[in-house]
Amino acid sequence: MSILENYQDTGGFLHRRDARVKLAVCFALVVCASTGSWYDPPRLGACALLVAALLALGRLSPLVVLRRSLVVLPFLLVPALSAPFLQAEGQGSAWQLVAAVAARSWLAAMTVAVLMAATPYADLLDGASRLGMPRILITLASFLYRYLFVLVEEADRTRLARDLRGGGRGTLRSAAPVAGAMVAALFLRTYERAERIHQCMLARGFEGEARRPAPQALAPGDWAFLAAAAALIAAAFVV
Amino acid sequence: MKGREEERAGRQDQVRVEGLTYAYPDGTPALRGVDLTIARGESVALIGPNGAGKSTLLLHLNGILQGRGDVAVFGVSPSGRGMKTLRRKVGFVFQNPDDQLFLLRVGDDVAFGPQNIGLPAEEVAARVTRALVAVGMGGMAERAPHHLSTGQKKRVALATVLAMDPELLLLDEPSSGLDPRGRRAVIRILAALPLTKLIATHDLELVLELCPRSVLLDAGRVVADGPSRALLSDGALMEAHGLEVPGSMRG
Repeated sequence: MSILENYQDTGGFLHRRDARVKLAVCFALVVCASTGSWYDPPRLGACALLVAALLALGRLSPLVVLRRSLVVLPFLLVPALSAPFLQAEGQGSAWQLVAAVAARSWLAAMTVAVLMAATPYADLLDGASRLGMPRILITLASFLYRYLFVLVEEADRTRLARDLRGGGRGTLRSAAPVAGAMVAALFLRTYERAERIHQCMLARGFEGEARRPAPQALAPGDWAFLAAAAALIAAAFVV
Repeated sequence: MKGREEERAGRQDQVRVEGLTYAYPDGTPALRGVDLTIARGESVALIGPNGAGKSTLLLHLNGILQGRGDVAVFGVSPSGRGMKTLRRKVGFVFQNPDDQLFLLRVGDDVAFGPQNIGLPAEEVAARVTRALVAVGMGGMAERAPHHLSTGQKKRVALATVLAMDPELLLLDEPSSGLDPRGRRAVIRILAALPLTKLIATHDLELVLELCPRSVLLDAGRVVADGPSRALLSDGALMEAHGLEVPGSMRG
């Protein structure tokens, strides 16, 4: 489950910033790292410096964030495998093209990893919702995150129950029906749980749309961070 | 006018159920003609074997399930238009706190009910703090529910309902899955609440501590209704309905 727990509570400057500001800055940084002419080492270098600056502002452990960012690796397999067949336009070879794609994806992943390490998930969703993300997506993401933990625990218990009765061994032929039944049972239990959650919500006066408190104003620190980040990212666009 | 209505409701029984029948969607009968009245301030235990219909009966009292027969809570039928006001007054604590706590922060979850009834932000915040302190979870508002123990989750689930300022509390197995300390904490919290309570439970020692009156339900019918001490010490009755005389009464 640790893969879902990204937040590192270091109490850094970045952690204390409003989630809306952090989302906006990180989004701009991702756009900066993934646009422009494909071969642009100065811009990518500038973006890397900005990511490093965010790491420092959050007093985050670079290694932990780095490990999180490696989730992009599998997605780089396709461009890497197709490199021999690519024809790079303009300067540089096909391999340089792959390297540029890799660098851009990795910078984007690093940015997201920093954002998630410095912002509790609930705050991220709050911020995204206040920035205009559709309510239904926020609700889905929130329920998904909350119940993934419950579901994984349930799946673990089911698997343990099977293994303790010696059900985990055997050939694929004998194990597959058991696995199928387990998945079906999990699905049914999840379905029933969803019904019970809905009942719980109704019992507390839910009428189809959750109400939430009015947004808080940005603090001076948020404005300062936003202005500085905007200027630096704009500069990175230009280099 | 409104005041007089409320006054009349105050003298009435808070819960009145007459001839309630209900069958599950697959046709299995769950309740077969249940009669039950509960007066203001009473603390009543709902006991009976598994599958007796205890939870099903509770779900009828705030309109989540609707069977045939007469149900009136605070003089209002929990269906249609009366339901909205009713759900403010009736707090329901479900058996599994993972069903009840569905948001990502404890504080958000406790605030969910008060926000739904449209209270202003300061009032919501005050109620969240008050409810969490009442269950001994003050200062935990920022925690994620999946980081809490079962006992803590149970207490937060209770807080989510207390924040609604209910007048009637429906509790489904409030002590199940708790260690003795967690169970003791829940009993202490419930004993201190001056509300009308209906508690569905298998924990008969808890019944003796919290509920002067018990209603024994089996196969969808009320089999016995009376003082807890008399009911729970009746060995033949208890055994006939899948229960047993609590250890502390066996001498």
